[in-house]
Amino acid sequence: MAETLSENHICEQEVLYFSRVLSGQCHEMANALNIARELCGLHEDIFPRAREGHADAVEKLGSLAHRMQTQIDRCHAIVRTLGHFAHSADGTRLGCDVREIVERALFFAARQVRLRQAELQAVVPAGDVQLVECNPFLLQQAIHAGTELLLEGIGQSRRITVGLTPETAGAVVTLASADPFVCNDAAPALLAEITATVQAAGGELRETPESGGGLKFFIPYCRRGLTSADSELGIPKGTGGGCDVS
Amino acid sequence: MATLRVLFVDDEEELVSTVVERLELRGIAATGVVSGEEALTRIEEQPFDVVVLDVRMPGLGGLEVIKRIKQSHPDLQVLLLSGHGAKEDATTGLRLGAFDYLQKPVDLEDLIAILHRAVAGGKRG
Repeated sequence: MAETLSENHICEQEVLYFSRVLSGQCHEMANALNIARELCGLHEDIFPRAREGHADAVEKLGSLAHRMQTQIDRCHAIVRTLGHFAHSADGTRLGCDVREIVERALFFAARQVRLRQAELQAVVPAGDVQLVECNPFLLQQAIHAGTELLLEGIGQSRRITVGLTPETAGAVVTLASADPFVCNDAAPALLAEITATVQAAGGELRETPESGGGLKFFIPYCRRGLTSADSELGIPKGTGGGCDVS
Repeated sequence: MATLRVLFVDDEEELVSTVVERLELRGIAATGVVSGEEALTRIEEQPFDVVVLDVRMPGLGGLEVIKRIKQSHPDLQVLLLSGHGAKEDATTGLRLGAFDYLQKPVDLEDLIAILHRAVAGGKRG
């Protein structure tokens, strides 16, 4: 019974995380579209003067096109990342690219961090893809909850660093605040949540902020041989599965 | 007719600069800032007729800012803008003294009409 309750609880948290990501990214996309709309309006405002040959207006139109492109690219990044995120809910997989998972989690966490006037710094090394065996959705959820935990106890530096380090048997995801962690009312529940989520993701929580070193999740490398169907999303590498972290 | 002086507040810098530019092209003296804290400072430095305020911003949100504006400048008109359209935010905003609560996106000509109505002390749309 206890196990069933725990599974139900994790399931509820998954839905909650999914809806939070979705609503946050909807707002981000709406912001980009609002800007694009105003830029189109400005284009209409300026166009008559440009048609008359006013050099300043002609130059302005050029820069407007670039500014619109920036917002379109912003929307594309959101849609692409959300697409991969939606597929990540398919369950545990062999051959997940842990770097992509971390980058995607940070892409979504960037909004919550910005709204809390903090800064997110990612130290995710380029280089060989590190294939792990995990549930990518739950790992993203754990990173998000870890960020939330650190934001709750953040000090004056208002900076959170997320790192990814390869080890012999797996990859370690580290989340740390620049300040000593300040325990608060929300921390015990969040920490229990993170522990359960990391375990359900196929990893292990190795360190908590209470011990002074931030959070450390260990995710084991693939121990079995891969087929192409095992690989995350079945997408060959280098086809845009990653995302920008801003 | 005196030039309308508007302070536009939103954390999206590109939105602020674009709307300000479009308002200026229509003869409105528009100033833009990207945070609630900055808005409160600017209001102390120069006079405005209307403040257009985004509800959700990092730091001081629109509802907290309008509360403070109404304490220090009770006659200054405030329009709230939101991307959420949450009813409770609208109700709270109007209770705090907002002239109107608008959901993004807002057509610029409609916004200007509401700005003029707010300054004239007219009714909401």
